[in-house]
Amino acid sequence: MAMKRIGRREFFKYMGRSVTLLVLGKYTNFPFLTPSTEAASVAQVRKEYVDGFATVADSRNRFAMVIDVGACIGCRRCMWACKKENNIPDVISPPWIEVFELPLGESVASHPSLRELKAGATTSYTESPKEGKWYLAVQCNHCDNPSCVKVCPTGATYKDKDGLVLMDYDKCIGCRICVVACPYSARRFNWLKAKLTPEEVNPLVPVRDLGVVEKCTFCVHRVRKGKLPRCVEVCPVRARHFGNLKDSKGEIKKLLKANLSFQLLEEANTHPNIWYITRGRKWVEKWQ
Amino acid sequence: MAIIRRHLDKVTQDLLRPILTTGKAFNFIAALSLVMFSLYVYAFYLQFFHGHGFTTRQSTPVGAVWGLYAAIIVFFIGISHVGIGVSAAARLLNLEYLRPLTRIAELLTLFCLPAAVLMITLDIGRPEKFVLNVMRYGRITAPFCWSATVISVYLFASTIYLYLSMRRDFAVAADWVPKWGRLYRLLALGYTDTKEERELHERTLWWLALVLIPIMVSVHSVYGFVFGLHGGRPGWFNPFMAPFFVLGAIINGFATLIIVVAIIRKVFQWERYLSIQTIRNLGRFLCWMTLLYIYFTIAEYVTYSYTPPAGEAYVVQTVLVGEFSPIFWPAMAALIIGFLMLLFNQTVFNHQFTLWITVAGATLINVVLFATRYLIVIPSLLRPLLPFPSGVYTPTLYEWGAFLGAIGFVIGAYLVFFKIFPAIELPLIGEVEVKGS
Repeated sequence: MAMKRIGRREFFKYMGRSVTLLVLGKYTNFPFLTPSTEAASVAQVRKEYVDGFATVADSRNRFAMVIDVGACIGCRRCMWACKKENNIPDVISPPWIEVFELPLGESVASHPSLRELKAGATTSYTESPKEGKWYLAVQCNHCDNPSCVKVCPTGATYKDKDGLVLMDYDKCIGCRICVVACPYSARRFNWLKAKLTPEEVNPLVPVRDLGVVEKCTFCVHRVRKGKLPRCVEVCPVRARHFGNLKDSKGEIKKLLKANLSFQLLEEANTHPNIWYITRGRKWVEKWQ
Repeated sequence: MAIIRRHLDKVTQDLLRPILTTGKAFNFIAALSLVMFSLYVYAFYLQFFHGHGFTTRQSTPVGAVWGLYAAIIVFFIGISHVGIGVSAAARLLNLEYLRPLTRIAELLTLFCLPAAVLMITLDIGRPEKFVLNVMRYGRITAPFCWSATVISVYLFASTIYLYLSMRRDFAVAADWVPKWGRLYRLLALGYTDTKEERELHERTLWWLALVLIPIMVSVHSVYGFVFGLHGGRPGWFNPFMAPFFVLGAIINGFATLIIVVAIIRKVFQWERYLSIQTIRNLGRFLCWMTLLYIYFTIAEYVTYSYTPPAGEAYVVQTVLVGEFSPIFWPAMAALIIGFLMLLFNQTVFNHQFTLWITVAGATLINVVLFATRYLIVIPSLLRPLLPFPSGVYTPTLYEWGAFLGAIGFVIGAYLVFFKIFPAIELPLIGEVEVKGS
């Protein structure tokens, strides 16, 4: 077969053309939306919406949480409710929320020393509240400058318009670099298969596969429909407050104006969206 | 085909011997490498169906989320670093004495990079989605995307480089190896070994070598960045990480190259072609690079232990006096012993060079390099910044088995290659008489 010889210049010309076509195709939403593809995408959106997870983000919201560490009695109801609400299997331990029991007089802004670790800092379920202890609940901070989002190679974790940092479990490849990057250790990996009976499963939250990373979503399936996150709802001493930071008359803004607050690991420059206040000191003082 | 059928000279005959004859050792080593590789397959099977949890790394926030696998990946990437580098440098700087071992070095790149990719596939949570998702949704901000890009570019460019440098050998060997003659002719793609063709190839390879050197540096720098970019990880967040990794890779690669060349030289009785002088030059370079590495290490640990922030203090404490000190101090001692072995053997007692001392020193340095990889990856991961209890991590036998499997893969790949293709560039007609050592 006689083939036409292609010169170098011609070769580059063809290459250039095909690359241009590819780029154009990518950024002009090629293939164009035809009635049949439109119907398919509508069906897809509906399916996701019924799933409850892919609820639509509203950019008028910016969700944030305030935790009153003075009021917290360390009952771990938030941990438990979160576990039930979000289909967290037993093999993920601790679940998305972790409550630390810390000795009074020890700060958390800095790194605890070996001595502090040996003396204090337990994560087990103990009888609480205890004398001379205070409780610090930690979960994903839904940071405004999230390092986990920056390092994710597939965009499986992303910052949504309403300030939530969420996971697309289908895109996650389980490389765990987000777990490494998160200074708050808020992320969990599915090391083992989840064992959940059908009755246990909350149908509004997807059950995660083996080998993906997951974390607190601020109960995205609830808060985008106007409900509170489950951990806020169950807190018996109202130590947790949730709301919209863009709402200047909202509860969150009021609390932050009225109280001194701190955030965890501010030096990590992640701009977290959970603030801690010590309004109460109710039970702590009672024992002193 | 207008290849002039020369008579089979002694050297070409000698170099083609492994292709033409098969010894008992071949079958034995092939079986061994297969058994080793099956360990990898078994670990992969377990993980794929039962999750990574069987490696006892189940506690996410406090355990080693990247365990031994990450150390192995960095180790293999480090070895692969040097192969093409040696070859490219030999071409660019006209180092003729390195010429006989360029192919062996290039193969180091070509086999260790896939071995690293094998380990990445093992380490990743969802290997079935790994390549596709990174290609479809890849994001430019992610260090892993940089690494996927540079690894594939490096592998692609190295393959082309190796192929171009082998094309002449295919054309020449086609007549002498009836078994593979057809394959060689196909691969030679009409190459006839004329003067013009040879010059064209040399020129292409020279430019390719020039391009390959920066790619090579970028590959390992990116691996430094995978660790060095995390502000939230004490012991990692460090602008020094990329150059440190590149230096570590150079040492790692040169040490492995010395070992591999010494083994091949012994096994195939190629003392004439892989001269002792060549190994000696490699060893001399390795010696001074090791000194530089020792200096870097001292600089790092002095900085970490003088007035460190709390996180760094904890990590350096575990390494210097804590749970990792049984690895750290022997490793440092072995590094210095390895350096001294090379130093005395290569430079001080210049007139009485002993091969085995250099090889032993290189082996020692390689083991130390693996230990330091381990010490980079694990201690930082065990200490979260929030008051979680500190984690523990002991590699399981499965993980070590997977490491053996990857080594088996490299050995097997070398075996198969040597069985099919010539291992050393076949000599030109004019230079049949290779100088003895």
